Amino acid sequence: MNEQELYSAENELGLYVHAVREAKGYKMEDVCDGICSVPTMSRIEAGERVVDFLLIEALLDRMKIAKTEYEFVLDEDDYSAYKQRNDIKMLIQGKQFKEAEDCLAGYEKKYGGFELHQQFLYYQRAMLQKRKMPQDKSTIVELFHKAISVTVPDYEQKMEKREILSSTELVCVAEMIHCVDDVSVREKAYEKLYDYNQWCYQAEGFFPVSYRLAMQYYAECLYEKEQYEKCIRICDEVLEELYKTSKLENRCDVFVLRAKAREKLGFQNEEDRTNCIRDYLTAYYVIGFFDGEEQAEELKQYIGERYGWQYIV
Amino acid sequence: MAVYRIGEILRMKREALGISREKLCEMSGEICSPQTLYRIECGKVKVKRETYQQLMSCMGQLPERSYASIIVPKNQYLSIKSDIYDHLVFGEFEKAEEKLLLLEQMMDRSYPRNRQYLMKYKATLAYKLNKIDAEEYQRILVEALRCTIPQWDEIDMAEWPYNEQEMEIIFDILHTYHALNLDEKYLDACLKLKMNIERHYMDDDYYVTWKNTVHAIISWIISNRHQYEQSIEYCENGIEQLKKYRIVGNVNRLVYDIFWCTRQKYIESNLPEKEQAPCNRQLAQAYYLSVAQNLQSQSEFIRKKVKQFDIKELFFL
Repeated sequence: MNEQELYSAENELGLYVHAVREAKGYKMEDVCDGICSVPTMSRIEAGERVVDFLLIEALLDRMKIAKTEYEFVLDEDDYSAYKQRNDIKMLIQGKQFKEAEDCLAGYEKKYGGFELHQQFLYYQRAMLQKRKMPQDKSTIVELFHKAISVTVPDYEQKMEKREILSSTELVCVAEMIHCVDDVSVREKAYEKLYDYNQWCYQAEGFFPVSYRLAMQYYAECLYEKEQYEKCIRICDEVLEELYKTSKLENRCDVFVLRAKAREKLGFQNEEDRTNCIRDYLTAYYVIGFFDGEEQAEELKQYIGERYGWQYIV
Repeated sequence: MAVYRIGEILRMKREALGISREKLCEMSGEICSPQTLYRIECGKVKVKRETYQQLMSCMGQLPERSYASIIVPKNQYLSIKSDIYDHLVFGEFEKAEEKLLLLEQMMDRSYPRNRQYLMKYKATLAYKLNKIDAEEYQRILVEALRCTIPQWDEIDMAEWPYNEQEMEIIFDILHTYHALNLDEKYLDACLKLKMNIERHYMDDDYYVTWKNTVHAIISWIISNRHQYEQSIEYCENGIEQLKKYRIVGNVNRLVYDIFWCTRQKYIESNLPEKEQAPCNRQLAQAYYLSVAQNLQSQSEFIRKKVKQFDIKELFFL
């Protein structure tokens, strides 16, 4: 298909997938592995087959296309499913667990028959469990493992062989490692993930969205292992990525972690000290703003007692 | 990413053009009946590809259903667009011009959205470099908009469903009203755009982002008219939503505006210095919200204000 055809009246969602894949030079079988068959994918790309929008999203996710890069006009069914998925994410984020569980049950009844929707359900149930009962690590691991196994049960080999994984799949990997108790095991696993992410960067020109989360966890390991300098460096990298998004995400946690690591490392000069307090204050004011004063209280006490109340208005 | 409902896009465009369902079906060579069109618009039946394309063409619209930010043939050029944007934000106009030229050579200009993109950015750069005045800038922007909305002059701005690129151009056009000292027109247009966005024809994230962009402008205009209470109300409304969606972008601006309005209010009512203390917390919040996003020019701006207002500098590391 040449470009002219691409811009013609046949412009369907699948044609966009084709254009992106050609531009980025991915092989069809790498992109669709575990998501759909190669013949199906070629029919999608030719605009001959209309599929569930979640499948389109999964293919774009494999190619690390950021959600801000495209816009779609969707059918009513697709739009309604898309909206329900967003509502579920919002409810979990807002810790409205009961409502989230009801929505998940409703979603499963309607779309549960299709594999990718199953992956979505496992993934969100894992996220819900993580927020609701973070100490129940075995359930969390099990759910993330079920989620990733829907598309890539062989993810470990894939990472070894440097084959592409989607951001969703990479988040599952990062979360599963996070549940391991032994810090040395965790550190090693994140190191591998770090190398894989660096490879993505070399091959694709940018980090997958999951990079931020994986590297935050990595930095936490390094802190536990008392490797403060490296911890700060990884925090810097994570924040660089976070600055590119308008979403808050976990940036306050990263600021606190960097401040703690700076503190442990000790201050050589006034600048070190300022940098450390600035990180604490950023976390304090931003948490206070988004989650309310009570949530920031502990941090306020700490900054006040250690560095003086004059820093806090 | 923005996601739109197909039926709603059809309905909004048809209504904005003042065409009845019967008329549109007739124009399309009876590709469907008015009853079917009604059901399509409500999302009760799935619209066939041919039907959608035919209906859109009859309204002088591109029949596309996916809008890539821009379409270029090679991987490395995908990042150029974000480079151009960054250069513009940091005021590195020469660099932006260089990259834009590179992109232009790669792009297929026969594609209207690409043409629109090039026109917008070329004009913006020329304007920033003082090569063209605000009037000429506005003229080119409107022309760019016509690439995808040929009926721009006939439609009511509040009624048309815009995509991201069109929305960006509209914001640029609004700013030219300010540059041309047409402040009354500026406010009117902003209020119209606010009405448009509040029709909520896009998905939530996108809705919240645009709504707050327009709220920030409106609150700024009315605060310049000393309507501080109203301005604060706009900001607070916006902040509440951004908090809900946990979006940090733009928040610093809204918090700063609240600070500024509250302070002006105190000054104009001659309250003693001590009463102004609650404002300082807002200023600190605005400052650290900028730091959390690494917005250096905005945090620097606040630091300058700190010196000017004689506030304890210790909070602003």
